[in-house]
Amino acid sequence: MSKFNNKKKGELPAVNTASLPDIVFMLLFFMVATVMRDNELKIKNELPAANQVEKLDKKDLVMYIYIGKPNDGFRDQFGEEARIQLNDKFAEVGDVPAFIYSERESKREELIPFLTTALKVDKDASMGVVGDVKQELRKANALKINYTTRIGDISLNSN
Amino acid sequence: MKLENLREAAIKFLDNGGGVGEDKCNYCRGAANPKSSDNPDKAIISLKNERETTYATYISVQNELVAAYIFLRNRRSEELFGDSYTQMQKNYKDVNWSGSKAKLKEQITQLKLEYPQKLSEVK
Repeated sequence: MSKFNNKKKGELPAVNTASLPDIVFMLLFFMVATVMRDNELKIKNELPAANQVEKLDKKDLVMYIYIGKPNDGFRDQFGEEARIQLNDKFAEVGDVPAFIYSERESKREELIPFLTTALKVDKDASMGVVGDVKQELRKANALKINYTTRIGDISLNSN
Repeated sequence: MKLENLREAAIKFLDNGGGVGEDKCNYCRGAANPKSSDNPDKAIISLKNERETTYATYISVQNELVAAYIFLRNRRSEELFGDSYTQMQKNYKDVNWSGSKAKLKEQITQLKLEYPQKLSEVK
């Protein structure tokens, strides 16, 4: 009967690790993609300086609208004029209310009155487009707005 | 007018206190010029900008105007409560500050009423 007993007794076979690299790479790419999605700006966004400023305390209740001239890679498609960026896409002035509504939808209902819109506008952008955005915000009843600046003397603003 | 002079001009206008009778402002220290504002509550600053104005200019102007209001509120606050408006706001936001927040809130509201920020923008 020794023929049937030559298997080692009581030892578990080693786990097959052949697919481990696949899993590691999948996780890695997932993380890289998630991080890059958040902070990819397609426009020039050099904020103007101001010193009479207040800190916003509830960062999770802020919606960001970026305005500035398109970066090099996008200039052919979107031109030289200042454009609006919502999340990670270029947008038209008319898209602003829809953006506000969708942001509101993603927040808890009792927090909606505290939502603030932060305008991150490049210092060389013209007031025309900023005025248009403000007009749209008024239509969407997003009346709490904030102009994001960096802290510094206003003399830094003149070129 | 140059941007450097805007803050002072705004303070002069807001703090003018040219009103008489009901409109009299008894905490203003301005020149009481009858051609300027009656009292801070009636002093409205209207902003008008061209479409081509750069955002940096707009922010600079806003900065100077806000500075004018803060200056006046600070001065009034020192007079009434012996502490600056800026410091009081800091205390109000500080979770570790030991004092009556309700009272502080009341004082801040009073200062805001005495020098209300009335900026209007013309399209």
